[in-house]
Amino acid sequence: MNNITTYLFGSKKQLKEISWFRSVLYLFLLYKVGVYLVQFKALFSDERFIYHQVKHINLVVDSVFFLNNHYSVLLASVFIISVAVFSIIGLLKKSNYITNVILWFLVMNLTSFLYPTLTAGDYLLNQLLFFNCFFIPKESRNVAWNDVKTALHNTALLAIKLQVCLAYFLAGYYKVIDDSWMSGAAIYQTFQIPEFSNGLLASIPYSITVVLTYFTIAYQLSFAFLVWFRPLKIYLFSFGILQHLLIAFGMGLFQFGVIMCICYILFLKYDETEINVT
Amino acid sequence: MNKTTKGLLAVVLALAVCFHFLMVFMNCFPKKIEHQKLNFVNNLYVYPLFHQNWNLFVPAPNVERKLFVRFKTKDSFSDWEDVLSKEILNHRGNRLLGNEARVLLLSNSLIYELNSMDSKESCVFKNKPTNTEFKVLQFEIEKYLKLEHQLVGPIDYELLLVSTSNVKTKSYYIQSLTIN
Repeated sequence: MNNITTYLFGSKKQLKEISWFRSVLYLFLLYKVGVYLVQFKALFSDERFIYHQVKHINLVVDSVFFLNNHYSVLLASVFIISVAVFSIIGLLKKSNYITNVILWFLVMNLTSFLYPTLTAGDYLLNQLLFFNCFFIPKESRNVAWNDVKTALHNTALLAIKLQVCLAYFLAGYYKVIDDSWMSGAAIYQTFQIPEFSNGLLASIPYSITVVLTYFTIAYQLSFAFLVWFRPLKIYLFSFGILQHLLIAFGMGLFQFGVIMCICYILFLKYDETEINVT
Repeated sequence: MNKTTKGLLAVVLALAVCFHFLMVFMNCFPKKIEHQKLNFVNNLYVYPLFHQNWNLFVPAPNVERKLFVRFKTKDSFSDWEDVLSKEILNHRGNRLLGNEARVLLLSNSLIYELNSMDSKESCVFKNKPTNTEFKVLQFEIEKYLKLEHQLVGPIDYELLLVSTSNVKTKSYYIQSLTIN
């Protein structure tokens, strides 16, 4: 119990890494705004391709589907521009609880509006933005309130790490119970499908893709356990970054690849919760 | 803040984190617990704020799908246009421009429609299918034609959906469609 209290209330952990993480996250959101503007006609205009159904389930769902349920070109434009504004506020380090919650709400609405185009990266982005709301709060005069803020900051940091570990573990587990992955053919098969490949990937010999398939399963299953061991991080992240760049540029799931790499920033520092085996 | 309050807050936060990840884990795990009330609470908590999906490329795709469209011109029909391949090529040209969304949109709708037709052999549809999956695909294609070819309705068009796997190739030719 003492360890938990010390971790939560001791001091705000990994301020430098969180600051980098936030900057990259806001830059990524600005990139997304750029994409929305480039693809505005196809995604948000009256001529958009996306088929919509109004969703009214409960208050929470309605708030996330606000743009979807009250769509107009103007409202969509306001949402996109607001994301840009709040991301810039964040980049200038002027964000606070309120601006970050609004940013999360805006991005949730935009992703819900574009639900047929979403990848796992978009869902992860929503989680990152949620926990980001609690990071690096401004100091207040009330000491007790400062303690609560510190505890929330440290909890959010741990929660993002757990979220990433959970994502990898589940991705790995799904593969272990799937025949195409366990037979070693999954990556070769995927590289033969034009949507997720290019000429170069499609020509990779089968034997190499089998090795890649098993390596991917091992990586995803073990990430959650090995990432806490300092000497292994360099190898883990090297493979992870290579894999996610391949997914981003080779397979064309650019945003998914980038968002996974952004998560690694928070694992860079070796804080006291790690197990030092050196 | 005194030690007791800190301890209490630590317990609350620890419980909140445990509850959150337990709910997310339950929601994402492939084997579901058969407990109606628990699943209801789980869905209520996870969807839509914490909704996520980690069955990435499981099962690995092994069917190549194509979507062809042609529309009526003054005299006859235009050439068949391989819509999805065109979008994929655009996306390959520059991965940063966000064509990913257009590829995923068309590809997903095509997958859903072809999956819904899985029990049928190759055939010609004189009248359009009435299932929801086709309704979505038709909406997207009509918007695509209007945006890319500046078509203003009513204009007749036809679709050819093709799926090719190691085992067999199936195709569905859908006639008598009209853009309004």
